[in-house]
Amino acid sequence: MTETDRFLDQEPAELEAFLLAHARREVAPAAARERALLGVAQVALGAGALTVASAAALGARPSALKASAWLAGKWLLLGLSGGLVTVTAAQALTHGPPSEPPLARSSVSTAKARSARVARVALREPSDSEAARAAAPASAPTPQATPPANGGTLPPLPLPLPPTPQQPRAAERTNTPESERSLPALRNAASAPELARELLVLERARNAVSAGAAARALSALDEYSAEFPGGTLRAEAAALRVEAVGLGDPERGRALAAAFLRDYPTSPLSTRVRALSEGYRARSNKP
Amino acid sequence: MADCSFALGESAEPASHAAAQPGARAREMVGLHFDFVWRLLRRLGVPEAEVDDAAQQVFIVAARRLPDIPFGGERTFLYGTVLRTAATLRRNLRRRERWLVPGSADAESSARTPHEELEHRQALAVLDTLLGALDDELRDVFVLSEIEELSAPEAAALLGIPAGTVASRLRRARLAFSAQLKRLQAQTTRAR
Repeated sequence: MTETDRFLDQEPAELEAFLLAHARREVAPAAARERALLGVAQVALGAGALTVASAAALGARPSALKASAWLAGKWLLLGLSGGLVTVTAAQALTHGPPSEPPLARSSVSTAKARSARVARVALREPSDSEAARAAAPASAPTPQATPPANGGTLPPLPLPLPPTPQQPRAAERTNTPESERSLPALRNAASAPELARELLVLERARNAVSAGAAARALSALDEYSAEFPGGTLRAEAAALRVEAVGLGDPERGRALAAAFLRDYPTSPLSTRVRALSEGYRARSNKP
Repeated sequence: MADCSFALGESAEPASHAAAQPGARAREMVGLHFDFVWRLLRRLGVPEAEVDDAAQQVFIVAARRLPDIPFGGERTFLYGTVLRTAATLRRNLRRRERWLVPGSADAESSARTPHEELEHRQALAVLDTLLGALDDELRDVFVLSEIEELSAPEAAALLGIPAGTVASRLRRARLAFSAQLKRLQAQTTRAR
């Protein structure tokens, strides 16, 4: 067989310990966890209508209640296709320490730090959709700007924006009151219902991809491009298209993957798309 | 100003507040038990390409049933749902051939070298072969005790059987597992 199965030569007791250690070390992919979060969020939201009340019930804790509806929308999107774990909102909203019930915090400073993180997202994220609108006339995706350093180990947002006069990036680290800082966000944000609609179409495509139903996935993605030419989630749609096409045609999947990596070089989804592309290469090399 | 918005957004509520916040409770449930559920589905024979879907399904079921699940009983409920989901998927699997898509490149696997990644996958494949050879009731106890490292009383609570039964099944499971393991080693040595 291969060199790697030499582990079978160990003493039985050692081999058993070795195998069990591998199983214990296994952790679920972040993307899978986010999909589960998406699933329970949809249950909590009933028919999927995003209201301020339900957003609050989901545990979104932005500084202004209005922002919570928008953020819950963004949070819902996290499960889409496996790359959005890197959004700061994900850090704030989905990766809280599991031992701490999110609504049971008593430490004011921690709570404030969290609110500040959320507010920072609120400040930057919606400007993405502004960029999306600016680029809207062409349905072709626009290349991304280089992501700004965000002051920590957090990876860049999916659609980072250059600073604009009314939204200086330095504001992130100033002590501007949170409510004020999140205001521009609210003005420019794609509305939560619109995001929810985008999400629903893409979730359909995602499910079809998971089921190996390429044609169904592509028809959902075509619907997405037609309905949301400058959609907030167009990078996610493009990544799903790579996957859907690659199901039946690895060669074309590879070509699309290359195009994706050219168009969205800084997208957090690029890791996944690169891995898909590798998989397609392996498949097309095999007779 | 900041204090004012803080009061609006996140206030220090007592933990019991979660009772009135099903979304928060469901989210917390995912945070606490996701790896557990995902690993169990893997070890109970759900194909890799379907584990993510299955795990999502388990949590959706649990989120719908949340009002019926007693506080502290989440893991027991999830475990029961995992067992049913895994059994259904194994049955379906026998009926149809699936087109496997390339596995998702999660952060964990990309952190390994290709050699380590291959070894990890082979180790898990060997382990799953060995587990697959165990009787269901032995495998359940073995997975909970040896991989999830639950105590006998914890495993007993999840399985709904006495702790003494867990202990005796675990003894049998360990014997059966090492017998399978030795047989496999003998086979691979011969094959080389």
